Amino acid sequence: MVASGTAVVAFRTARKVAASRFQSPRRAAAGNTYTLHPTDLGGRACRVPALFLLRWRLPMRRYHRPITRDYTTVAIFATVVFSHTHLASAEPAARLAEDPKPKSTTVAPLSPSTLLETQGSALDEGAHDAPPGSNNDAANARKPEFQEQAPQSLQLNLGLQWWFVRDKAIFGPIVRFGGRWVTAHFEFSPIRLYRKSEYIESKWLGSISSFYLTLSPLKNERVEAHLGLGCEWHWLFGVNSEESKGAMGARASLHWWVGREWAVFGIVRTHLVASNGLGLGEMTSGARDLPMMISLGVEIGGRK
Amino acid sequence: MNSRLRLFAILGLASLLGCEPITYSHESKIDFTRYRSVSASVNGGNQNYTDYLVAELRSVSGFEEVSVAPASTDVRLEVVLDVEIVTSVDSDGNTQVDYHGSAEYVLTDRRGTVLLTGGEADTSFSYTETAEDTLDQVAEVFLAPYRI
Repeated sequence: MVASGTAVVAFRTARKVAASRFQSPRRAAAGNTYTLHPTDLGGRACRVPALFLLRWRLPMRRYHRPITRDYTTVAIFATVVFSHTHLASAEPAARLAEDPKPKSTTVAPLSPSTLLETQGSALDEGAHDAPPGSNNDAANARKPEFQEQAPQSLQLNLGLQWWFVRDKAIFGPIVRFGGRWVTAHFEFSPIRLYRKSEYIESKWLGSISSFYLTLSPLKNERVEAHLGLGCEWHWLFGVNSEESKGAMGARASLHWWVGREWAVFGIVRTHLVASNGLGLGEMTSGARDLPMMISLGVEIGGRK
Repeated sequence: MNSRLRLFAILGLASLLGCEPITYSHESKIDFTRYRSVSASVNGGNQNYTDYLVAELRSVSGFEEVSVAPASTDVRLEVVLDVEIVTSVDSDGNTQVDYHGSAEYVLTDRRGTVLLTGGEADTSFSYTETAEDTLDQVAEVFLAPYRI
């Protein structure tokens, strides 16, 4: 059910992104300047699956920890507050496109040497850095802000992710590096138990190190989607320094750039092959649930 | 900004409700409720290695009592440890020494019935290190069961 809800959100988001065509001059010239806006994701596209999940999950999860006691609540609250207060720099392209007036600025006269340097950098970085007085000023003012950056052939992103796992806190850094189509993801996430276990003395159970190689069927300045395969190594040093489990898995992730250099992302993963004793979607009582895991996070770095 | 706040709230709530479990477990090869005590011996009583294995078993195994004396224990663990020194010369003429350790173990009850047999191996860069690492592997066989 969770997978279907996530798939619905991902599909609708991808459809809206595809429909928006951020850099389509043909659509812009025709006046069709619809652009993906945060409201779209917070509106019907997300509301329906969220309500669906609410109706399905709540009666089934009476044993679930109270949300107010869950550390994940703190993480989500911190993410919301941070994004609310610090990520306001990203203005939707539509709002810029709706402003018909070019923004004029007063520029002090430049010396000939400075002017030459400015022209040189303009050739390197693009027409938006053209010297003052150029006829391109008005056109540049209408361009969405994400077009002001030169496209990067390779991306390096650093982030923090929080696994939404029951009875354990799994969180840690994530690094991804790649180009337009292929990306390598490195993750390291320590595991801490909420409650002390009878089997180990410490609440620190171990850590998860993983490497995934993904393909990117969708990648533009706002949204990235990654699908791929990889392996995970679960080192259970809380049990024994020699104790570990391994798994080969598949994962899908969706990254949404809410700011110029900030993005939020969600990852859904499952294990295709795993060691004995590594039960994804398995409760300590032995009951089985969905063999998948969701994690959310925030990342910084370059975008396409 | 309200829309963005609402988006994060909905995503966060949906993810909270989507918490899935992950469980790590280990099923022991020995019924530790039936066999609670063990006596261990390495190479017929080599004191250093026997003491090391006893300490490791006390640390990680599911046995409640681990000792050297075989008389009063439920089971007896006999280990034959062998460390082989392998010397090789690479294309540049440099000599390299590797240590390959192997251990064969037999677990028997008081009547002499074999409960478990097997072998472990490890490689390291010194004789003592190799021997201890190999004994670590043997102790791991008797790791206490857990389900976390």
